[in-house]
Amino acid sequence: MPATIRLGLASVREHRALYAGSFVAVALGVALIAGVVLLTVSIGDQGAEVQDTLSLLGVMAGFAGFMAIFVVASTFGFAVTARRRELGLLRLVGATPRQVRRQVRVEALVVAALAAVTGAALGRLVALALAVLLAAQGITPDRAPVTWDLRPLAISAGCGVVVAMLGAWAASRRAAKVPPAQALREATDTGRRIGVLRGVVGTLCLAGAALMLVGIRAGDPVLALMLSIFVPELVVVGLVCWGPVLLPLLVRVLTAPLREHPVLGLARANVGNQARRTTSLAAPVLAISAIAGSLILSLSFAADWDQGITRQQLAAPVVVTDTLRAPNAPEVGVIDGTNAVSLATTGEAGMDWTAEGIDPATAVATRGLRTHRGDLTRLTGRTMAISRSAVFDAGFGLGSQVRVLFPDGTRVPLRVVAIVEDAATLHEDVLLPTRLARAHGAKPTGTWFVLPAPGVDAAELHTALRDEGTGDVLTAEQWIARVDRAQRDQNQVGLIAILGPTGLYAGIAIANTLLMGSLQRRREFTVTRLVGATAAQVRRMVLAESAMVAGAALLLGSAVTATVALLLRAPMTAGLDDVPLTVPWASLLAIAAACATVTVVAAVVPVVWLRGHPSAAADHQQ
Amino acid sequence: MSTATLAPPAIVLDGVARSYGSRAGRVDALRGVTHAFAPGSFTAIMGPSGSGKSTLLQCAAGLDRPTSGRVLVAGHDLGLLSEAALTRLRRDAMGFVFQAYNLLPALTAYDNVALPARLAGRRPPRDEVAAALTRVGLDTQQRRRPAELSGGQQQRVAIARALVTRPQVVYADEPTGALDRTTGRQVLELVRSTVDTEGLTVVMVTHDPVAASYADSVLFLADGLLVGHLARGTATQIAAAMNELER
Ligand SMILES: Nc1ncnc2c1ncn2[C@@H]1O[C@H](COP(=O)(O)OP(=O)(O)O)[C@@H](O)[C@H]1O
Ligand SMILES: [Mg+2]
Repeated sequence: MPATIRLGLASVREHRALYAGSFVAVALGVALIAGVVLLTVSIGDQGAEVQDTLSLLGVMAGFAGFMAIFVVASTFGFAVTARRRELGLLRLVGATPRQVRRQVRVEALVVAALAAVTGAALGRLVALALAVLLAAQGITPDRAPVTWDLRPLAISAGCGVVVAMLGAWAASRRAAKVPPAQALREATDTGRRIGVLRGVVGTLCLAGAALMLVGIRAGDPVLALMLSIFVPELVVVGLVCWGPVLLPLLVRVLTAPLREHPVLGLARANVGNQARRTTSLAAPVLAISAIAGSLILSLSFAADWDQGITRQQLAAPVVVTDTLRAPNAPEVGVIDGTNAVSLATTGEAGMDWTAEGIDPATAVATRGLRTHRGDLTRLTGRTMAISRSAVFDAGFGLGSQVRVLFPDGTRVPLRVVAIVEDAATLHEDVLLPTRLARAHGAKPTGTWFVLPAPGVDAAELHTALRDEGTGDVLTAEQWIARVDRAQRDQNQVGLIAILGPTGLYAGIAIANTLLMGSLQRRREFTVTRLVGATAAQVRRMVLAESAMVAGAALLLGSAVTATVALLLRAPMTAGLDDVPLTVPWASLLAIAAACATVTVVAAVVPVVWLRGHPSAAADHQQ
Repeated sequence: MSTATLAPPAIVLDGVARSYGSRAGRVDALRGVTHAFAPGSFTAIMGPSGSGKSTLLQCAAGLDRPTSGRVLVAGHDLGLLSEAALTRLRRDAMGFVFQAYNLLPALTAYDNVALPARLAGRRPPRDEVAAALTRVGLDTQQRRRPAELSGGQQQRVAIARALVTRPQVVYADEPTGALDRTTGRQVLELVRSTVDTEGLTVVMVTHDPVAASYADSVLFLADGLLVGHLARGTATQIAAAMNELER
């Protein structure tokens, strides 16, 4: 067995604690991905709602994978820093840089393989749990049996190993750069210098983010919204790359008034001096606060935007919902019922859509349909119209001839005669002539937009429909509020699904860094005690360090969120008269509070725990 | 000049200078040190703290590159070697022992001693590794991890590892600094006897006159310059010379 592999195995066994965080992160990621994949394979094709749920779960698993790379990178980077002396020694007794690099990769592989197998086994449990959950929520009619197919598990485990190796890549390169003289040196490297590659990647990410921010400000709403979801990730990667340079500086400036304080001043100096540890600690807090903060605000602004559009366009003063029978009181002037039929575009850019049959004149009168380009009055015969944002995904535009497949099996070529402005709450993205939609099985969806007959006012219409007793009769204002509520509730579910695992990962990363940090610093704590600090002072020092770093990271995260939000606001209100501004303060504060809590708890627990372990034992150990 | 009959020196320092630039300004750790270490010699380097002892040792081992001057080890000019070639030379021709942290915590005493051979891609000869450990008196502790060994035992494992590759030179930086007096003496006697039996060249940094008295000669360093030389001195003589320097 080559020396590096043998040493890698022994090293993982010895440094179990250092790799606990990586192990948990990879195992959890694999479990989530395996669970979702397994469930998807088991359920198969079962309608739009199941598909939506599965794709939400897919996004969740994707985020989990992204964060797992972060955690592994951070824990491996940390392990390398903590072991500089040992790695230097390895170089000194004759290991080439390549051998050191290989050893760290072997260690990553060992950890990843163990974690991937564990995760795959857990994945089955996750799939079973999700199947129960979906059935309980009524999304699937009954509990789906989970397949025994092993391939999804193998694929997820493979993903886990790849993710771990990606995470460990930079760390292994850095390990190979540790000079042999490190074995002789007393003071550990403060790591404030960063490599060229890291600097370049960081700069590229920040430059890319800056470009995207300009795009958000200038772009149209849907593009802006999409960019606002990717910008924070780029900014976070960029800032983390530059973290060892940037963060100590930021903390120093922010805490300058505390310089003279005996305990806080020491904490401040430690944070400034241990640039790598500071970055490892700040990264997850920054990631979660920037990504979650931006996502929460973007989704809220999107809901505001939708509501603004609805207010702008909706002309009907009364909306009746939850009935398949058209209200027909004499006070009714124009009635416009919604319907839906699924269709698939065929060919290369084939996609599934939900389409709606409309009578253009009626829809313009009740729902204020606005034509962006083309001519909506030509929506007759074999034609279709699509909304502006759908042009992005569709791969066809005004004048295109599109072959569509209806559920009844017929294929029809349709010409795109108009592009309409987006109004997600008021109509589907694909609009067909009513007759064509009916002919291919369009079903009423139970919502009716009603205009009063000439000489009847809105209040009279409302009362009359109430008395008629068909469905749920709402004023336009009530209906808008209800649709808005539903959209925000749905956003909330999505947010929890996406941010839940992300938050969990951030927590693991924070706890891992602090726990390992404290274990590594036993000797330093002993020295601090020897020069006269009380145990309580040491605890307060560690707490203050974490608070300073978390505070700086939260500040950066808030700055990212605020920037994205400010820029996003402009395109989301352009051309609309009445757009509400909803800032979900509760959610934002909850994120900040969660970050602070995890950091503080993870900081204090190891120090309290170390109290029971006389540090004299640590001095004997290597 | 009648040195032609002598073997070439094991280590040559030729006008070695090393300065560090830092925010506080430039520090000249070594300011031109010239010395030839004869093969089979045991040399102690002494001097006040900060006088450049560790820097000298690191330059001599190719762990640090001099700002100017040359270093030759076993006939190779270290300044001309690539990092990989330097690593190979260190692996084959040099051994190291420091004050502490000499061993990889993950490996047993046996595996620590066998490591240099393994890194070189060779199968470590079992009997040689065992013999090296026996010679330092640790034949029964082969399977122990560093954490399960005393400080003196750890130093002896480090010496076994430094010797097992049969290097030409061994560098030691305060190898007894973290040991009690009795254990320290055992370690020094071990080094002394290895020099005598195997013709090893040893360069040892120390601040302890007793430790230095085990060496054939002592070099005194002050402010980055060689300022004195004492051959075959007793601990008392060495201590007196040190006092002289520090005044
Ligand atoms: N990496 C370094 N960076 C800056 N200065 C250094 C570095 N290493 C050593 N020095 C300085 O060089 C001088 C000699 O150091 P050193 O060789 O460690 O002395 P000694 O081992 O004799 O105590 C000291 O003034 C020390 O501060
Ligand atoms: Mg020194």
